[in-house]
Order: sequence, then structure tokens, then C-alpha cells
Amino acid sequence: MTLLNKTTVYLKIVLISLILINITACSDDDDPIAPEEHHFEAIGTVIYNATGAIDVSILRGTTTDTLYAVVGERSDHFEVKFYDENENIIEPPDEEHSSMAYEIEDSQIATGWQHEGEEGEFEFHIDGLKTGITTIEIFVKHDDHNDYRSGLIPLKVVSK
Amino acid sequence: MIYILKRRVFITLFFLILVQSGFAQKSTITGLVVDYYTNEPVSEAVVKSVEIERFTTTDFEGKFKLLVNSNFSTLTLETTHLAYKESIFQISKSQSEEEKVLIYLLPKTLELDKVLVSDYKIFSKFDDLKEISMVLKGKELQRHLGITLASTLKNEIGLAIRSMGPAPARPVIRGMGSNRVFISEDGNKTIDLSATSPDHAVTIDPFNLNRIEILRGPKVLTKTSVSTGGIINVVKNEIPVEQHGHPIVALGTYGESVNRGFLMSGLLEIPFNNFALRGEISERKSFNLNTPLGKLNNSSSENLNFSFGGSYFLNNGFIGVSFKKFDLDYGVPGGFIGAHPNGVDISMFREQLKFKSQLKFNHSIIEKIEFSFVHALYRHKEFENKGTIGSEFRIVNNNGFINLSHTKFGFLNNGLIGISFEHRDFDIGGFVFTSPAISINSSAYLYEYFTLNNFTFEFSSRYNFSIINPENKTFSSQIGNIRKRDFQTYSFSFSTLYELTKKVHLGFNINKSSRVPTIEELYSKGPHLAAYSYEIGNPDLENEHGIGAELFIYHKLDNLYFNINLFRNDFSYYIIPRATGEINYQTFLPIYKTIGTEALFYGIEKMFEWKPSNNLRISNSISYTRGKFKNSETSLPQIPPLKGNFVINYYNSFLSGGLETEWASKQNKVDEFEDPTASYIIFNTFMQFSISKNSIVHNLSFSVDNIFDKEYYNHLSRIKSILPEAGRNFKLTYKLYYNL
Repeated sequence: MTLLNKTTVYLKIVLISLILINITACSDDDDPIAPEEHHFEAIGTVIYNATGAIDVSILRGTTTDTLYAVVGERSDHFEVKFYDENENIIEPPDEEHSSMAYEIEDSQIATGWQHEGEEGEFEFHIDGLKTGITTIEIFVKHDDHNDYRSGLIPLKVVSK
Repeated sequence: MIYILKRRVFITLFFLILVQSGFAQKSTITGLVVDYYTNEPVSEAVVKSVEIERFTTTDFEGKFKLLVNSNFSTLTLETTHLAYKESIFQISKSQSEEEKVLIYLLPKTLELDKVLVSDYKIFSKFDDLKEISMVLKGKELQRHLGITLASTLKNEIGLAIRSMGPAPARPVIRGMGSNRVFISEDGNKTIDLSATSPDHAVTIDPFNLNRIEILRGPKVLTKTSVSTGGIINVVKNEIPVEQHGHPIVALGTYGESVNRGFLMSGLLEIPFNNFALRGEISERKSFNLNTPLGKLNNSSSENLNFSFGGSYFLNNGFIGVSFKKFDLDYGVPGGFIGAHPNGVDISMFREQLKFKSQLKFNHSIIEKIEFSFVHALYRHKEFENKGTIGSEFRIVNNNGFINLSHTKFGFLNNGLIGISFEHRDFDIGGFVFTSPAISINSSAYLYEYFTLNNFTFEFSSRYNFSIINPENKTFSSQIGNIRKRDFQTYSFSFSTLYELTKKVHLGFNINKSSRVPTIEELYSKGPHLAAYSYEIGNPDLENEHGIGAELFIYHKLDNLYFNINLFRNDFSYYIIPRATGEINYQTFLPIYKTIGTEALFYGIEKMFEWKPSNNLRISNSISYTRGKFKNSETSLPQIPPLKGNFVINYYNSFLSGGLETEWASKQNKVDEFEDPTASYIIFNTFMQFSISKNSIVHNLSFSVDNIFDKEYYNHLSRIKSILPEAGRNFKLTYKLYYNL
């Protein structure tokens, strides 16, 4: 082969290879990336009792307040709101993907309860099981991950 | 399904086209390799045709047969054997269809210079001197094999491991991590996110590597603008660059007790007319790591890695393609402050199509042209709970380079000039607040090597232009104005080596380093779930830049090698994510803020290797790096302590065994909000066997790491607050090579 022919063959191979790489380029069209969504932002939590008074205020993970429940009783409902970054009280997120969750450290002392069909709403009750002190933490969930967590809030169960 | 079909169509079409381009006429070189003094035949010697990258091995009678194209005029044959000095000479074509040659090899016990007839390589004296300290290959590589590239390299001089569990681990060179350490495969950048966060793994399995090279000095600028860090290049030749005279099968297995991990691997390379086809597959699985204080939960991993490729060999080079997939699922342990109690699971994969070609021009100033193009897709998902995505990343990357190498030109012995480009589409989803972005990079670079009397010089420079364009251009109260940025950077590096005697060389290097900030460093503003940090970027960052200098001494005899390096890297702008000591009260994660600051690194490295007899080798290395904020005694975060190792190794042609110690001093030079780490010393032992029968070579390695189950901590581990490093570990590696 002459140098020209060799060069032509070589360039042909290079060109076709690059075209083929382009045509068969790795693709993940069948697995699109999860969309970026709006996330709720807060720096604190306010828990109101059934009378509308504030029982607990926790800001930047710190509080001096305690939530109370009584052994053998289901508390009245508690309503949850939040502080924004300017420490103004704001309503909970009203989005399809957002919900509330809570975690009680010692479930022998108390458990949480929500009305059937209202699971994930920003209201809850406490069932006192035995006297003692534990903690409760409030979460704002976005689908299955936490957009926000309150920090630990003391929860005391007392006898009647 | 469509995806698999596309792959098949691609491979089939490619080879049909190559077949159509015709086959060259063949001629045969036959020969005999014998000992220079005894005239005894030398078996298992490798005879390689340099120009066409094709080789074969001698049989028990020292005979070999090599198929080459018949239209060559001269051919360079390189003959190597473990016990003999390399021989290189040229043969000219006669009228016959079959060329016959007789090759004499000099035993290595005699101190003589190489038999070098033709100077054909871009291989400087610097490379020759660094071969012992900066290259891991053969049995040495097999002995050091770990679960990751970083753990395989952990005892190399100047290197440390940044980790967050066994799987996510990345090498750090002289205290510098992130993308200051450029990791490449067969010369092409490895596309993953391992440089951006400690929880991200490197997408390379070390088991089937031919060789690992740690490159520093001027050559670094042919790949990256960061001259103060280094390159870790793994050599696999997924696109075959030379053609064997016969098919090769390599099978391997690996097991270790500390995580009940195991690996199975197979590799096949087939020469076929002017083609070489190569395929490889490996699967690895490991469970939770045992430490002296208990099991490290959520530290298991599972990896499937396969590739196939092929090359068509021309008279003066090759052209080839390959496809690879690397699939890795692993756990990031939790349970410490800021972490998820049960850790985070990560699932990632990388698919890559690669094209590479190299053409050599004999008897010309232009020695060769090399062209490479890579298209890669990288996906990465982080799961908070099983099956639920917390955050997600995707990179679609196209990159490539064209290098033109030259031979002697004026006073220049050899060198190369080249250009490279990269287009990176970075997408983010889930609970991550960093803006998706597209970045474009183009570079031009130059490397030259020349000698003058007793001096040897290397010089390189690189110009780099980058654009980073975020999708969400907005003002953030947290980090500022998120906007498009462009960067122009210049780097250079100059080394000289003075031959004090034939055995002792002194040298120094001076370099200017630069680095473009990453997308994460510029635009992050939110929690990073698996890294357990709340990351705040800085869109106003400049390019990182500084001046580095190094002094070195090499002493190289057949039975004694040592080198000492003193280095100082002075950054007028160094980018780091620094713990602020603050907590994000939305997520309760510690806040890390990216800053640009003045920083100073200096240190010393020493290595020696002594062979008091033909069967005994004693080696020792020590590395020390001090990193601090300039004009202050405050230490930079994540700087490795003074560390080293000591090895006594007995070896012969059949077996090799020895004892090794690894040690590190305490690290109490730490940044604010960073914990100090205690000193340690651990003991390891190893035994390796090589059996060669007919065309089969068996290599077996057995080792025990941390024999006394010592509790020790890696200062660069993000999980050192929960559990120490691995406990006593029995490792077994077996490799079989079969030349069909």
C-alpha cells in the first residue's frame, strides 16, 4: 500500500470508530436522575398544646422546655410549627412530599399516636406508659429523607 | 436490552471494518537466546519487537518464533529476563522469508551497562532512577494487593490513604488529596467523584493491573496542571498496545479473612492476524470489616468489573477500542457525631468507551503520534434507608488528547507536545443543593528532555482554559452569587539532575502549580449525606496556585539504592473545605466551608534498598509532611503523620518471603476541630511462590497483615472516632498465566 492509501485507511478507521462511539454512547435514559425539589428550611420547632399555648420551643437544637404526658393516658393533641432562619414562627410545609415524623428514645416510657388517616400530619398525641424521662425528636420528612430535625426535646411522663 | 444491542453492533461493526481493511503479508523471525558466558539456552525470556509492539517467550530450549509483517526494513528486538540484563538490537531484512537471530544475554550479577543499540524510548534518566521507588509491578504488586487502589499503595513513599471505611479510600500524596492527585488508567483520566468527597470510592479494582506508576516532576504536566501533587497511573492495557505471539489466559483469585472478602478474575488475550483481542472480568465481594475492637458495621462492598477491547496492528502502530463497566455497591459506616446511626449505602457504576491509536515514524524527527478519546457515564446514588435515594450524581464526560512525540531535535533528546480537552456534564438530584453544571476544559502542554555534559534536564509547561457553567445561576444568602466562571491557568516544571558519579546523582526541581476549583468547591450549599457534612462552597474562589521546589539525591548500584527528597510547596492560594465548628441546625451536620488561603507544605522522604547477598533484600522508607497555614503555626487539616516501613525479604527464583513493619508517629499537629491520632507500629509477614511448568506460570502469595491484631488508627480516616483500622488479616492471592 502507498503512504496515501495507508493514511486513508487509517483516517477511515479513526473516523468510523469515533462515529460508532458517538452512536453507541453510554446512556441512562431508562434511569433518569431524581429531580431536585424544594426542601423545607427551618432552624427550630414550636409545639403548641390543645389550648393554643406554647409548651415547647426548641431553637438550634437547644431548649429548656419539657413536654409532659400522664401514665395511662393519651394526651390532648399537640400541634407543631417551626422557626425560620429569622426566628419567625412559620407554618409547616404544605406539600405532597412533606410529612412529619417523630422518634421517642425510650418507647417503654411513652409512644406517639396520630389519628388514623392523619399519619404524617403536623399534629400528634403522646401515650404515657410509665413514669420516667425520655426524649422526643421531630422530623420533617421529604419523601423518605429528613429535610429537618428538631434536636432532642425532653419528654417526662408523670403519674396522675 | 437496546443498550446491549448497541454494544454488540458497535463491536461487530468495528471489527468488520478492520477486517475489510486487509491483512499484511507475514514473515517469521526465529531465534535462540543463550547465556553469554555458558552458552546455555535461556528459557522464559521475553523477546519483543519494539516497532510493532509484539512479543513472545522462549521455550525450554531457548528458542522463539515471532511473526512480523514482511515489509519491514529494520526491526528492533528487545529481550528481557529476570536474571539477565536487557538486550536491545536491530536487525535488517534479508531476502529470506525467515530471519534467524542469535541473542546473548548477560547475567545480572555482573555490573555492566545496558546493551543499548537503538535509543527509541521516551524514557529519561529520571524515570530510570525512579523505577525502584515509584513503580509497583509484578510480584511486588501482587504482594501489596488490597481491596482498593489506595490500600495497595499504602506503603509507597510519600503516600497516605484518605478513607471513610474500607471501600471509599483514595491516595494522598505529600499531604495533598482531592484532584491534586490525578488518577489515570492507561494514561486517561479516571472518571468518577472520588476526588470530591471522602465517602466516594475510586472506580478501579487493583487486581488485574499490570503496573502502577506514581509520577511526579515535569511529566505530570502532560496530564494535569497540578505539578505539586502527582499522577497515579494504572497500566492495564484494556486496549492492547502490543501483540503477543500466542493467546494468553490469566486466572486469579483473592481472599482475605478480615472481611471474609473474595475475588475471582479471568483475563483472555488472543492474537488474530493483525488483531489482538482482550477481555477481562472480575467480581469481588467483602463483608463487614473486623477490627481489634469489633466489627465495623455497614462496611461491606460488592464489585463487578469487566472490559473487552481490541486493537488492529499496522506496520507502524495500532488502533483500538474498548468498553468497560465498573459496578460497585458499598456501605459507609455511621454511628459517630453527625453520622446516620446505621450509615449510608452507595451504589455507583461507570461505563466507558475508549478509542486509542498510536503511530510510530521510524527515521523521522516525529517519533510517534498518540490519539485517545474517552466517553464515560458515571452514576452514583446514596441511600439513607434501603431503597430510598438520599442524593444522586451523574457525570457524562468526554475527554481526549493528541500527543506528538519527537526524537532528537537540536539540543533536545526527546519530548512531546500535546493538546487535551474535556467536556463534563454534572447533574445532581435528590437531597443535594449544589447546582448542576457543565464544565469545559482545554489544555496545551509541552515536555522536553535533554542532556548537557553531566547534566540532565526535564522541562514542561501547560496552559489550561476552563469554563464552569452552573445551571442555577442565582444569589444564595449562604454562599453568594452563583454564576458562570472561567479560569486560565499556567503551570511549569523544571528539573535538573547532575551526575556526580556514575552511581550518584543530585538534582532539583522547581515548579509552578495551578488548579481550577471543582464544581463542589464553588457551588456546594447543603448537606452531603454520606460524608456527614454540611458543605458550603464559595463561587468567588480563584484558581489554586503555588510554587514548589524539591531537592533530591539518588544513589544507584546493583546492590544498593537510596534516594532522599526534600520538598517545599508554597501556595499563595490553597483551597480547602475547613470545619467551622458550627452545626447546621436543620440537619445537625457539622458545617465545612470552602476557603482559599495561603498554605505551606514541606517535608522529607527517604528510601533505601540494599541487597547484601543475591537472595536478600532489606528496604526501608520514611515520609514526613508538615502542612500549615502560612505565617501561622496552625496546621492544615488531614495531614498524614511521619510514617514509614521496614522490610526484610529473602528470595530466589522459586520463592520469596519476609517480614515487614509499618509504623506512624502520633499526629498532634492538627487543625481546629480536628482530633489528634496516636502512633502505632504493626508487623506483617509474607510468602510468595512462583512455579513455571511448560507454558503455565503459577504465582501464589500468602501474607498476614497486623500479625498481633494491634489497635491502630489512620489519621486520615473520617471514621477513626468509631473504630480502628483492620485487625489481623490473612490474605491469599493466586494467579495463573497460561501461554497457549
